[in-house]
Amino acid sequence: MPAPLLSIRNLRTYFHLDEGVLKAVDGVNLDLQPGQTLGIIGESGSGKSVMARSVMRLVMPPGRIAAGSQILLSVDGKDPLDIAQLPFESKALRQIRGRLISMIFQEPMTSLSPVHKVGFQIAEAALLHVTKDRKEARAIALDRLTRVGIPNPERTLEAYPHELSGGLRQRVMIAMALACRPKVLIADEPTTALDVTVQWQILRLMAELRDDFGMSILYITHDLGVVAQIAETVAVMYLGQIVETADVLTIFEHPQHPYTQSLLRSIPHVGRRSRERLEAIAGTVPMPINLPVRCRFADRCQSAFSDCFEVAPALVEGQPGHAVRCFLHSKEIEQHG
Amino acid sequence: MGEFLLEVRGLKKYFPLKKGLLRRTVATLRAVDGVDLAIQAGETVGLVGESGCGKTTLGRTILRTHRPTTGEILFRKNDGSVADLAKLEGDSLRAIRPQIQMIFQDPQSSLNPRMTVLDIVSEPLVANRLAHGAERVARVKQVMEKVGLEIKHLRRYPHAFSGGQRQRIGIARALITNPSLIVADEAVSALDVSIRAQVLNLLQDLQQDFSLTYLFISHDLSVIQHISDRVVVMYVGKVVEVAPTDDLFAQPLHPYTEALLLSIPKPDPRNRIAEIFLSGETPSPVTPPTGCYFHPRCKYATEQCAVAVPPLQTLGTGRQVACHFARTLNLRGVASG
Repeated sequence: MPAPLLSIRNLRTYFHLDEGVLKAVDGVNLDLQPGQTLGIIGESGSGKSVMARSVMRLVMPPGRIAAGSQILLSVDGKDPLDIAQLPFESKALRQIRGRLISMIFQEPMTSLSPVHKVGFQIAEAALLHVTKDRKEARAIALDRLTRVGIPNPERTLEAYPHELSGGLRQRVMIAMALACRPKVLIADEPTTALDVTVQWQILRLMAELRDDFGMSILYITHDLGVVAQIAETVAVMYLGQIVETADVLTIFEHPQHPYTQSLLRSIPHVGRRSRERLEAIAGTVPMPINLPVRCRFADRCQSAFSDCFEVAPALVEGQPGHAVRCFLHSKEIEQHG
Repeated sequence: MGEFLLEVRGLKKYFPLKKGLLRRTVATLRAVDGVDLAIQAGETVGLVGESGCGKTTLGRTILRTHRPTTGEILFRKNDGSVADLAKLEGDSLRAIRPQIQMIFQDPQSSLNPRMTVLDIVSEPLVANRLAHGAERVARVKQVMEKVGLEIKHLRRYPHAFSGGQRQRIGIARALITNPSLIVADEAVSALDVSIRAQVLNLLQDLQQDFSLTYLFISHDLSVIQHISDRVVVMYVGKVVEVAPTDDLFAQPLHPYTEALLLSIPKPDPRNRIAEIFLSGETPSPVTPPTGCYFHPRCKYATEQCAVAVPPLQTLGTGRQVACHFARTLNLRGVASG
């Protein structure tokens, strides 16, 4: 296997609150290969968004990336750069954001400026990183708008975001993210707020652009259908930890962790009609504050036994490429340091 | 077929768009544009469509939070007589309100943060002068038990509950007046996958226990398929297709329904699809296209479609469709397995 483009090692992002330490991300290891789409699945509170923001160093106080966390970015065979160690206002960090790693969000209006024209906003990113020439930056903006399938790209350059529909805004945001041909695109629920037919257009667009631009995509979603359609590898997150990771076929056809299994059973499958009851997972996702050291899913797990309530299972790679954090599959206990 | 509980005939709801100092009407937004719909007692009708199709306005007009522009809303009251809600005002309308209740999408904003569960759930009783004092508390306790809330939480405030529990509070509030019809507008859309299954199961149980009739509004076809007996598809203010759920998913008759079904990301990584089923976006209900509203996006459209508005015609048992070519098109459904 080639060296990963992005390698996350023991990432821990903690929020220091009055009530205690909220461990939003608690020891995540992930590898993103060049040209790959890695899907991160999780419910709200699983820490998937904080994890993504940590990679961009967009976590604000009281949130903090704990010491010992590593976010290694290796581009073009150069020595890996640890994003977690870069000073907050450093030039090196600015060189990465938007240039090597770009991010798109669920709600495009939060990342688009309402008082600037679309063309200016896309060109701004290009001016910052790849060119000093305004004409060239504008040409890049026009090219990206064309690439994301916006009808009438010349006119859209002169439009303000509020003049565009939700689907078009999402395309503009993608165009902006692609301005500098990033190596990694982090997509945080980019289609969740869209209608189903528009969502499908955007999903197809992202798959196409990934190949055209030779990017890797870190795709964060709660939607199992989206992951099945777009990702090659999947990581399932629960309460700040990865509980299972494998290639997409294995996750959907041979899930091993009880949480993954329940998630797959709790969704109504279109076309597989039954008015039977859905298998619900009992209880809710607790707040990750002052969690006891034990399996975090134990309270909601139907297969839990005494060990699960006493010690924490480690994420163990039983089969090559398939790691599971569950005592049913490995007796290995997580070491805390 | 049983007798109808609700029958909507030729219902229109137009919103005037006003502009300028004199608030002159400059355009009309045709949110609901001539809808016919019948709901039998005891069934669940799913109302599906993308944002801006008028599904929420239709639901709210039936509840008479909007005054219809024209049309009839015939509702069979508990005593068996039929009233036209479109014509009722004031006290006569208020007398029927307990029989039709609503469940909202967002349990965060639909529950007053300064009221206790007791006050929230009993508000319909108080507003309609149905119960007070000890009887009020007794009925709240009874309904809380039914929806799976703990009675000891009677005097807690909404913030102390999780999203799924808050939605249960909203359901309890809808149930307390013993309604016959419940309009559920995106009732599970804001919930996580595992919690969504719990609430869907609850809604199905309650339907049995209280012989409820649901108008279930959602953009999510997998949820609609799971819960509905019949499905109504809306596009830009008009009903384009009505069918029993299995028939609709197995073989849609309207090209828009086909595109909707095919655009759902299927949770099956072996069945990845690169095709785009529907390009463009939903037209504005202020300036809808001529003829069939769907014709600019429809791949089967002919010249006739740009000119003539297709009527909603009956085709086969319990099926209605508004397409000139419904008899000749052979559209794809999603496989039943």
